[in-house]
Amino acid sequence: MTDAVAVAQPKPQISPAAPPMLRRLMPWLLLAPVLLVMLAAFVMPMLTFFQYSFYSFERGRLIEGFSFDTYVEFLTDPYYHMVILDTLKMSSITTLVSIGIGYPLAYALWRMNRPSLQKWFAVIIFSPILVSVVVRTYGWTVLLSDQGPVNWFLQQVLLFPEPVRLVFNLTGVVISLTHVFLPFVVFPIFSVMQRIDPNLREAAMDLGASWWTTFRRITFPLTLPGLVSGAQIAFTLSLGAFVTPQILGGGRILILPLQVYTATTEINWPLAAVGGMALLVLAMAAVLISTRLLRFSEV
Amino acid sequence: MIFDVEFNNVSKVFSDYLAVDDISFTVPKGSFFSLLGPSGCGKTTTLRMMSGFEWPDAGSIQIAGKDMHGVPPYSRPTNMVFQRWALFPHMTVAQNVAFGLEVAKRQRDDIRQRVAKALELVDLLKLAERKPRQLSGGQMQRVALARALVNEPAVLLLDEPLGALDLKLRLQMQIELKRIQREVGTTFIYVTHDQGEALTMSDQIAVMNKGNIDQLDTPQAIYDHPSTRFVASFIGNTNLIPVEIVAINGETANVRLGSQTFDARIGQAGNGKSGVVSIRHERIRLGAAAAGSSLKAKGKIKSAVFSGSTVLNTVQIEGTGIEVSAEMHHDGTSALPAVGSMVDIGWEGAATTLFGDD
Repeated sequence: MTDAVAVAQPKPQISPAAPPMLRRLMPWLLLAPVLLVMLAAFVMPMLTFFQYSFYSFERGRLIEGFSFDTYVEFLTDPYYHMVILDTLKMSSITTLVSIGIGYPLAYALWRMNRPSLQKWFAVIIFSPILVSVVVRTYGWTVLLSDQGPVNWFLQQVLLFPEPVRLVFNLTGVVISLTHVFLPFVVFPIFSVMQRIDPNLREAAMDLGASWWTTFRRITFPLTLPGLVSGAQIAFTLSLGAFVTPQILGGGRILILPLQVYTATTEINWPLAAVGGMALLVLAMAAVLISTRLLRFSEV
Repeated sequence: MIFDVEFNNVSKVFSDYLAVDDISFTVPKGSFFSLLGPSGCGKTTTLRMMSGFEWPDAGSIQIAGKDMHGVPPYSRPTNMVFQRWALFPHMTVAQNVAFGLEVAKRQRDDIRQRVAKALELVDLLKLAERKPRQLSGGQMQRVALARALVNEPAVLLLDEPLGALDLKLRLQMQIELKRIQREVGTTFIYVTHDQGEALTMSDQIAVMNKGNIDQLDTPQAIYDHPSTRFVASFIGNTNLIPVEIVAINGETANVRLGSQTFDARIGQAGNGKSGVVSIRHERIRLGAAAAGSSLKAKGKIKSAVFSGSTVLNTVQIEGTGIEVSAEMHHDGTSALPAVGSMVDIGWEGAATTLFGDD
């Protein structure tokens, strides 16, 4: 049995005509405003920042000369090691918890199969974004405090002997960040799930696979791209989180954005710049890793 | 005779609509059985009840001698070839075919051998390491077939598997499917709306209409002796000609068209004085061939459409105003009949079937 095979064709004698000038320029004209804004508001500041990172700061004075002093200080001082590790720890835990809650949620939303119900659940999942970050964070401090409703429940219903410390530590920060990052994790996974041919699950079952085998061998591998992009978004957003760790961390969570903020209040521009560079490197590493994972999980 | 599939008074309701209405039939082991009908006739629902994706609301189903009540799809001795094949996009051809065997926890060597054998059967051994997206439609179709057959199901279910292929490939695959079915000897249940496919491949066809089986018979019997008006008009190209019933004599009825009478086989006669007879386009004779027919008349050519091997003429029968379509074989030498000319027209009574008015 043979299927049609493409036959090599001789090279045509004429070349394709160039499209009209305006049509070629149009995309660039449309892009121009965005490109200008990006240049003024992102590229230029980044370059300035990069430049500042090579200055140094001594006894409250900025020294505008090229040196690696600040980088050396940043990379050798155990205090900054702790800051970097704390940042990675907070972002990783938040990402894992977001995925851990978000994936089953996306799956449930997908299997619900009732568009009207799906719409309402989507609104609920999306709702944290609609509330201002400050309001939301203070809301969590009330909910999670020692005398708050969560601890009341733990003590009265689940009979915990003492209140559990849920605020002004990593737990509170992770809870609040997960709350707001959930839509960023759920929707990429959900949209990938929706693109899966429903017949695939039936085909797997028809071939003898139970629900769990079908999930493990068909659904999960096919939704991996959504999971990876959701994780990437949650991780990079966690890296940049500022208000939540500031308020709910109670000064115990020392992460890079807070370190940058502290450095700027002390007008230690070089240290702030190096902290910013460290954040940028971490974010780029996350993007790089997830891009590699995406390529690996591609069909 | 051993039956692989038995339906006993099976019905299926979807919220407010009766998809399958009290059907009963049996499929002999090792046969090629088609469920044929227009969309919405219940054929796919019937197939999905065999696979276990739907369950009957009344009646019982037996497959390979066992009652299927409460048996989930993954425990049934059936495998399915899906309409758009539903190949796992993240697995290679070989992995797709091996899936069912792996789930059944077969030995690794055994799996390898069986996969190779199945791929050889569908002539795809060379493409074993390809991903589905690198395959053509015909190749994907064959992978789907191998993936189902490798599990050696008692019954193979096929849900319009050729629907997405182009015509030439479809014809080629029909022959291929029939060959494979003969080779493996598995019972095939084939769902299609394409009468050509059903007639070509099947040992038996169940023609479905509005949730009922109108006729279950061999392809030839269904074509030559349709038992209902629906079957007559759904299968083949048929003229339905209104006639007056003169007398009924057992198996045949004497009917009148214009000034002539002829004996028609009774399909499903009503109790009225009038009815319709069905006659295939190619059973109507024109010109010299019409001489000696049991019905002979004059007719006027209204149109003649050339389509290669055949010419389709529309002829108005003189004195009645009735127009019939007659298909003539084109031998490559004769000219097309001129539009507006008069021609002899006739047919044998045995080629017609009488149905009641509806």
